[in-house]
Amino acid sequence: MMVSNKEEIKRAIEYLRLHGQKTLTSMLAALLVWLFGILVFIPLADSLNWQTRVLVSVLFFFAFSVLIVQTLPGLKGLIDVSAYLLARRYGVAKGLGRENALAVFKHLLCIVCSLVFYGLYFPFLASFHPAVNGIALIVVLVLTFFLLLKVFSILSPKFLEWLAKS
Amino acid sequence: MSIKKDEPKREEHGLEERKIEAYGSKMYQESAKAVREVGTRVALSIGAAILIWLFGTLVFIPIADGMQQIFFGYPVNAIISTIIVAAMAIIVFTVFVDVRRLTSGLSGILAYQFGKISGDVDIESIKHYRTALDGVLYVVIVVLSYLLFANYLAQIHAAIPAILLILIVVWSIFALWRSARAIAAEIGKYTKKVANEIEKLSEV
Repeated sequence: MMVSNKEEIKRAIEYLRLHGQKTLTSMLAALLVWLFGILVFIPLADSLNWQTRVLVSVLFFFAFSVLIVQTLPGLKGLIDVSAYLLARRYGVAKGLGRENALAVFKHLLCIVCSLVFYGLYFPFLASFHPAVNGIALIVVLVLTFFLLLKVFSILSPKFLEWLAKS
Repeated sequence: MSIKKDEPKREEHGLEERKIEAYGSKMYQESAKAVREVGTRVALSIGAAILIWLFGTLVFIPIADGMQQIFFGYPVNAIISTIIVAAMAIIVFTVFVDVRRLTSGLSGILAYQFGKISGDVDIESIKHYRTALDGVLYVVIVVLSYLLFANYLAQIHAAIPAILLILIVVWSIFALWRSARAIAAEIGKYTKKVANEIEKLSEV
């Protein structure tokens, strides 16, 4: 299992080397498009009429989504590498075990990413209809719940051990 | 022996540094030259465009709105707006080339300073940063120009500013994408460096 973890990290590093450039470039482009869309063009369109606001929001939503979809495969590699570094720094030091620490940090980073993505999509979804935003929020909360459940299932023996000691 | 081997490297490094410094001073000189040559014209044109906009919005359009007359089948306020839009368009488009010269000088300086801050730089990197900053600055300039025209275009027909805005949105998405792609090589350098460092860490 240790070997598979090492192999996974090796694969993630190779992925970072090969696809990191494309992933980060797409992320930067997505960030630029998001900033100009939310801070400049959507307020401008809103000052004209609601139809233009929705149309401009749809345009930015699609452009942003295309760029985000391009980053997703690379993002997995980045999460793996970051989880490895965090597990090495904090998890193993706390006596969690390398595998468990890696899994915990991977899940936690997935939760952070999903919340960040929701935060980025929120202005677009809210401008379409509040209900669309609500559905997205429910999906994110359900995903977060299941990921947190996995994290707690890994941490619970350690937590019980700590309770028994105290 | 090692000192002798290192000498050509040091010389190369020094030569590159001198080239970068020369590039930076060239950017400053170009920028100063652009400000000297076209700065006055740009400032006057922008001032004239803003004055026309102000007079149009605060004086002529309210007067035309009060008239409620039709002239050759067209409302007077639409005709006044068309005239003002035409005047501003002539001013803005004639000054656009000069503004481009100014912004490219400015982005050259910004790229040089940014490159100096980030440390590991060469002339190619500075050129990449310059292309990226150019794209962002153009989008900002186009948006500001649009703001000048939007109200008058709405007086002519409500759909015109919306259509123009949608065209600008599509163009700006591609412009921003090109800006981000311009520094892809720089990002690639950093990711490779990070990957190598993580690999070293994982071997420990």
